[in-house]
Amino acid sequence: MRRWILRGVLLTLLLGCTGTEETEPRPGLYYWRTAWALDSAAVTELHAAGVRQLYVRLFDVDYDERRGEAVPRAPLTGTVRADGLSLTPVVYLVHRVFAPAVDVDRLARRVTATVDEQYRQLTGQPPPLRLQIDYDWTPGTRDAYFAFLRELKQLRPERELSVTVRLHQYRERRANGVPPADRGTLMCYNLAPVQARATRNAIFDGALLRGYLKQQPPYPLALDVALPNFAWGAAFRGPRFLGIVPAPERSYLVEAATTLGDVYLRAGDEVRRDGPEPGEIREAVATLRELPEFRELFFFDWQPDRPPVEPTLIRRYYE
Amino acid sequence: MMRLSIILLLAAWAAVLNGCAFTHLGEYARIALLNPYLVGEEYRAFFYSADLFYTFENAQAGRDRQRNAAAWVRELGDKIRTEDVMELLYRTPFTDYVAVVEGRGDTLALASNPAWLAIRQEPALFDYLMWAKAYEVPQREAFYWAAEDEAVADATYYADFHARALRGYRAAAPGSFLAHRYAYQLLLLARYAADEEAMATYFDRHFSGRDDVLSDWARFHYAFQWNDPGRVMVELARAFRRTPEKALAVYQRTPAHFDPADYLSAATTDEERADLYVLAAVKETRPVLNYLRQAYAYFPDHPVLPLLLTREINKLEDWLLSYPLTGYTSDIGERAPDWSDYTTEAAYQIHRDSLRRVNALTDRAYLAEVRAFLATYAPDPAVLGLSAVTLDLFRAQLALLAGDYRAADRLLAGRQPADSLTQRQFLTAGFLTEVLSPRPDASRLVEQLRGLQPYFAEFAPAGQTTAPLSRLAAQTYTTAGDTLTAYFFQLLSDELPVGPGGSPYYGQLGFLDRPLSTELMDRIIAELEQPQRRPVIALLIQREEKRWGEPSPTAYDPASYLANLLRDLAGTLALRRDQSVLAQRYFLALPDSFHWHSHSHGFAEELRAPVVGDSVLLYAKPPYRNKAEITDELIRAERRARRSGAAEDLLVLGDLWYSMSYHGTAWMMLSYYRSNYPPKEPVPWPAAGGEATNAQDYDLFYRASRAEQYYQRARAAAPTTDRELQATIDFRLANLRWRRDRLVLVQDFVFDEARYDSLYQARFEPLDQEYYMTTYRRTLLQQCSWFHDLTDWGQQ
Repeated sequence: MRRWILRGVLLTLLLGCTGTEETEPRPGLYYWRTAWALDSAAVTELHAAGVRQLYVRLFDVDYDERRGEAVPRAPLTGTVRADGLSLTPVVYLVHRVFAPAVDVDRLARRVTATVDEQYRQLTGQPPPLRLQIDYDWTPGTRDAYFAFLRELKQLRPERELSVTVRLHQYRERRANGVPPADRGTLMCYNLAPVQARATRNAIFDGALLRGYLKQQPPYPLALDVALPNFAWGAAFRGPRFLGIVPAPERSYLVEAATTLGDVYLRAGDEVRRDGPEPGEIREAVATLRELPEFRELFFFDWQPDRPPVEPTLIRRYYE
Repeated sequence: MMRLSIILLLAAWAAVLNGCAFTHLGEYARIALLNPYLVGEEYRAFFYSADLFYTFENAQAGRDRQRNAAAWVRELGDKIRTEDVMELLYRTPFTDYVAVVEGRGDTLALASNPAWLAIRQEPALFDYLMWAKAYEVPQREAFYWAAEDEAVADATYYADFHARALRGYRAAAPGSFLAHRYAYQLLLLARYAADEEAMATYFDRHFSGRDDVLSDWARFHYAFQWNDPGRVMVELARAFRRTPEKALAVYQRTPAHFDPADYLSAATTDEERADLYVLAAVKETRPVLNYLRQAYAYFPDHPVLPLLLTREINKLEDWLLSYPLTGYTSDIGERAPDWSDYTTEAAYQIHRDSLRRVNALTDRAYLAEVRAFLATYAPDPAVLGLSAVTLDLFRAQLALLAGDYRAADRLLAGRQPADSLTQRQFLTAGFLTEVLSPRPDASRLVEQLRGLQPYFAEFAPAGQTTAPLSRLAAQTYTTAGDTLTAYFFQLLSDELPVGPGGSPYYGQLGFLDRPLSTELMDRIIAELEQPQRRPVIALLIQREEKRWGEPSPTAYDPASYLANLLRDLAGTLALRRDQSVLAQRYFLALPDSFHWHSHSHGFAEELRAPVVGDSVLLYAKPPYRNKAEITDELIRAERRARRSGAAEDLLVLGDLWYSMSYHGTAWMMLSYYRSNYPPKEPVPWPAAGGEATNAQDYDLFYRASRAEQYYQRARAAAPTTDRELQATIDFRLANLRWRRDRLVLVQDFVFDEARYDSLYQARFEPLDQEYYMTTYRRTLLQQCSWFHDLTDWGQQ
């Protein structure tokens, strides 16, 4: 708790305000599926694990070549009930949305309207007080993206706007700029390209994470951190990426032809296990807790067949 | 978060994401020489692909839509053409309808469409058309932007769909065209409202047991109303055949994999039984000839069978050609030795490669089976519209895949292409026949490549262009020992991946990065620079000029650029052979403006500031401008050493070769690639990305073998009384060997500080004692903190 108070003080200084910040830890979990599958038992389990808030993906935005415009895709469906957990909707934007010349003002209006409407439909609640935008911006798309964020904020000034920040954006902040948002979540996963055969672990690599964080001054935006709670198998034929298959216990060589998920594997193909190894996340938590700039701890993402998070990890982070 | 985007690669709309033809799953590298469009576009979403779908777009002008248009023509009269109705119904947006109705669209093509004009004369028909088209808009997008605050939706055409449809239905004469249409729309509305009773009513009253396009569509929508899972599957499989417009929807609503035999009892006709096998086959990227055989036995004229044949042929091409032609060899063991139970990395690779060899045998056996089946496949061409020429092209393609170019020749002899699609396939077959023949004629191959070029879109995946053909030619000429011709065909295939990759620069020379003779290098350079070029070089230069545009931004002259690039390589090869004077001749011929040397980060930043001096103390020398200047220094040092035989001069040579090794800063003199985790052994092309390709080069570069030899000679020549010189040389040797020891640990991914320290200690501690009183040692103590630390250990 002492550590948490330090974080609160730092954040207060960063935000330049007093008295409005919540002082209790609010660890969170991302919900990143297209259908709501959390029943009351699962919500109870989240409470027991110490989770206090959910970041819920509402929909994606992609650029439709045929229509020549950005369009919403893959909406979350179902009735969202998560009693006692605070909800923050998230909109994921595919990188190419800002690659062509896009009308950012119109896109912001559309996203705002669709977030409000979909949030109402899913939760029965009025428009959300927080919104997170997930976009992997680059120096080439940053101007359009930042203008989009500014417009979002202007449309709903009362809404807390947060963004995701990749580790390379965190480190190369001069080239990438700092997004005009109220806060951010530093994504400490998906560290390497999954489709590259030379990648050792596409999801998590503790040494790489420490390298990114080493000797960095505090980011000019209040930051939460997110760690992975998922794994998958990446299938290869030579260096050719075949697709994602269910997470294996460990990497292996395919001995006989088989179909996993939608991927047909032949003898001699290889499946790399991507995901944190046991103990790695504990080490990462230990690293992150030593860096006072980080506020809340999140995990990505809720999986029906995995425990949400280890309560001890949360306790350890906030101690 | 990024995770979703990856997972969605497996989802339906992933194909749409890849409009620029790049996919994560390797579609760009998949070899496909048989063009699946030979069977038409109706089922193109299901062409074999590395992605889940080849495209995520329903059939735009499939048989069902054609039948629907024909039904409208029957209603409107024979003066209306089916094509006019197709244009009106499927290629004209509703906004055009509204614009013309509101008097704002007189110049639109719609305004003069005969079908539109005819329908406007019939108010009831027109009302239906406006209703149906408006309803199609929201239905097309299951999820779209919510209305913006400031946007005002025009509700005129979008309100009260159900009430308006019901009014139209009731007003239409029983059994009429309009009654049937409104009934279909009401069935759809009932489905989306989950009103099962209404669905059953409309279905039973209007569509059950009827044979028209609306009934086929209605059966698709009604499929899930059946209480029998077997019947549901049969209905959906039938819809896949009867209504191409719904084929993607059928695909998504049925299991990813299923056994058709589990549902046979629910089928009532042979056509339905065949449907089950066809749908099951479409779902599989594994070999499914057994399903094709079953489907063919039940229903020889099944319209989806030609698609399935292209899938099996494209699968075989993928398995038999993608791997050998892209030169992909896995680097798994080198990068991740903790992968498996195998005792050593080599054991793992041997086992993996043996599995792959078995695959190749299995694939060849499967190829023979598919050929045998295709030999007996004889659908009614009038039913399927699959011409005898197309079928023979299929057969020829399989024969060529089996290397049986004579059979392909016989199959296509006297055949004439009927259209541009078959023409393209004929050219492909012609190229393959030539390249497989005992003495292929490069000029003819180039001619066929030129003929094929217009058929490929600019952004077509490389594996489905002429690149694989050029690569095949390169491999053929390589086998025949004609390296010169092979090299230029290899360059023509450069869009296709080869090996794990390297810099674009290395991509252009990697093929020749091996101990080749000076004569051959000179001949290749000369061929590039002479005015009368061989056809293959002319084609290459032409392509390069087109690729870079006219005029090119940097006055790029492809021929002279390639010639200079090869001079750079020839110089490097000479240097590796210890022929410094020859190397300098090549390097001096490179102009200062040589694009790569001036712009490459490596040359601009690293090579120009090499250290040629004390490899232990790292004394910096003035920067060099280019490779020629370093070679010049090397030549002068060699002359001095030859003349004097003195230890000091041999020491300088040792320093120079050390500097050009992996461990020095002028490493680019001997290699085109430097990794922090270098390979443990030579990596032959094409697996190489610029690493040493043979044992001699490996020793020279990674083990600094030539530097070591010079240091040893210097040590032998050093006067026994000159302790300073002895110390200098011994410390140089210790440094070289220590770095070599350390490299072995790095290559084994050992990151144990204590082991690194002990290596260092083992190499330097004896010298620390041996040369305790020398000035050189004292200098080291003053300037090298690491050496200072060592001596601290020694004192403890």
